[in-house]
Amino acid sequence: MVFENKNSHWIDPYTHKFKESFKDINLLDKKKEYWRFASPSIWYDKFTLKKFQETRSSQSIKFDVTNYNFLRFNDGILDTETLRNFINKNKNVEICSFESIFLKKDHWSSLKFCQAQLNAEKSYERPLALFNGFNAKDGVFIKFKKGVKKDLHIIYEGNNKKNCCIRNLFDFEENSEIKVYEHFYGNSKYNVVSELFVADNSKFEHYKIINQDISETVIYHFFGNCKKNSKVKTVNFSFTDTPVRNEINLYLEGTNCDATVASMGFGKKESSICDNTVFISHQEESCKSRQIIKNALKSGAKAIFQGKIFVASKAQKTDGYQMSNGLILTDDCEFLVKPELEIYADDVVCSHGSISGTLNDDHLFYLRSRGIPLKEAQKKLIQAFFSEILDEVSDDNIVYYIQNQISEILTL
Amino acid sequence: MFEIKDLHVNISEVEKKIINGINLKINPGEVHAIMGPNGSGKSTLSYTLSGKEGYEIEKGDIELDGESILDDEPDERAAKGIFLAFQYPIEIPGVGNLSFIRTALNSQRKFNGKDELNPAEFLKILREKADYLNVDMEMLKRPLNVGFSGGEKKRNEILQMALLEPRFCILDETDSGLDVDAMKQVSKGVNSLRSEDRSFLIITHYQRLLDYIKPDFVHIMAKGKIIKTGGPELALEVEDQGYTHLLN
Repeated sequence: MVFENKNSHWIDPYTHKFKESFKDINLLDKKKEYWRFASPSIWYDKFTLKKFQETRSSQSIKFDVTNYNFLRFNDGILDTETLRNFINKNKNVEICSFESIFLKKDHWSSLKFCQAQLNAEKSYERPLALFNGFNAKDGVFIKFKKGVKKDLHIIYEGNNKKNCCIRNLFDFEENSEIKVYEHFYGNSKYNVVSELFVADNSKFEHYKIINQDISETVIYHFFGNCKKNSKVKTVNFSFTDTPVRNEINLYLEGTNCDATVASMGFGKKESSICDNTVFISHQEESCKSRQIIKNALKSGAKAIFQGKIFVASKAQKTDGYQMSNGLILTDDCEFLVKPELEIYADDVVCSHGSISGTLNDDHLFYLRSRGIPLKEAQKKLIQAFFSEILDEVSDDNIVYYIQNQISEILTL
Repeated sequence: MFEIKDLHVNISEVEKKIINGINLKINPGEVHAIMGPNGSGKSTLSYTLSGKEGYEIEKGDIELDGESILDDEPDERAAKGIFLAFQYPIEIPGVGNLSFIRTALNSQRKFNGKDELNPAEFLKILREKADYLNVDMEMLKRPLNVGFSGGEKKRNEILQMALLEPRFCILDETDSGLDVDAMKQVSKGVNSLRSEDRSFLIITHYQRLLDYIKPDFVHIMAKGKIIKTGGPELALEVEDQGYTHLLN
């Protein structure tokens, strides 16, 4: 265990703080705001791996990363060969594993580590992120220098039913343009925290794909601090039938920031929970944010969306938008929604809405009146439901990959 | 041959009887027009013929070449050659127009035991038909009917008809929402599809569409029944005197 062997390291006060805060939390308290629809105990099962293994349905078709920059984690541990390859191929990037920062006294990350998470903790408590804070064993810390443009794929493979606590830190200097794609596969249980620091005029796109063959729970915290004129987009795709919680906190602390959070989930079994808990905090003027959440649900699956737009008194001319849609394919499903606006400025445009329903009968009839059989027509309409999320993806190969995943699920 | 025999239809949602005994025989190559005032049951008839859910057949039969199609689902009826051009073609965001038409065509081919068309074969046929009907290929790349003008929507319906090559076409108030030029264009498309083995049932309020698509027979429908049948002159009579005198 890393922490036990490294005394008096700059990281210790943080881990101590997280550990102490975590101790005071009752994980079974159902009254906790933002945990009313799903208990944290679902994701904190004290290192037991029994409940959801039977849900593994099939091997996922894996996205081919051969021609991309990529890093791989095997059961939560960074594959050092992929790290070496990345270092050899990429200039203007500083990168190291989470473990190795303990060997460095004045690492650049010491000024940023935990800062985005602590910012987020001001709004509400995130027990599983605290847990990650003193249990993370590995991760990747990357600094993209000024003006760098890069794509990076991060693959999380689980083959040995491990509990993987991973901590990442992404630091983007001014004018950088970065796309990070994260792919989750296999039978390990994941608790990932990624902190993000986006400097002025930078652009960051983040795509996370929780594949079908994930057979354990996934909780992912994404804490971002965004400076002026930055543009951040994070898109989540969830295909597993295990509980997935996607917690996003974006702190827009510069003017003219543009943030997009999009998520699609396709729950097909009672064991499926797709939980998106999103908090976007507008701290400065003229920032824009959009939240678009889509969940298709059948056979007892559940989805949750808790989304908040917070506008500080200083954040005039804020433009905030939030929309969640549930496509309920069988009567035994639940889509639980808690949209919130908290506004202290007076010159803002903020809107939110939520619509749930079944497939539209008139749409189905139109398609069938042209000879398309019922199942094929339903498939087309479910794909159409998700199209708004796919429109957010800028890489055609990823779009094609996601479309195939949806298609594969629909033919099962 | 398409035949409607003593058809009685209820709309199950409102439990209201709309069609009260219609008999109609349409031979291959014939064009029949049904005219009638609002609420006479014209659109109900078109939905019933194409198999829409919620239209309960209380009595009677619908036959295609002597075989009942009452038990056929809408897609099976379509694959057997029945096509409904909608009065208000529906917008479906997220469904690409091209992909939709190709899926429809290949579904029908599969039903009829033919090989499916690959994308290149499909595009070749599509281009030919689109050119003839003056349909912009760019329009076809958009989601199905989304943001289309009234004329574009109706041209898209006729394009689908041209590609699917049905044997029996129902045009439900195709003239509604069209200006004169758009109506001429749509009519040109319909006329180009007239053939010895394809028949049409044109539902309309007004005679003006029948100036461009000449019918062989005109039927007047009221209160769920055909109350009078004649030649094209019957449409002119309606245009001149309205429906009131026929209803009385």
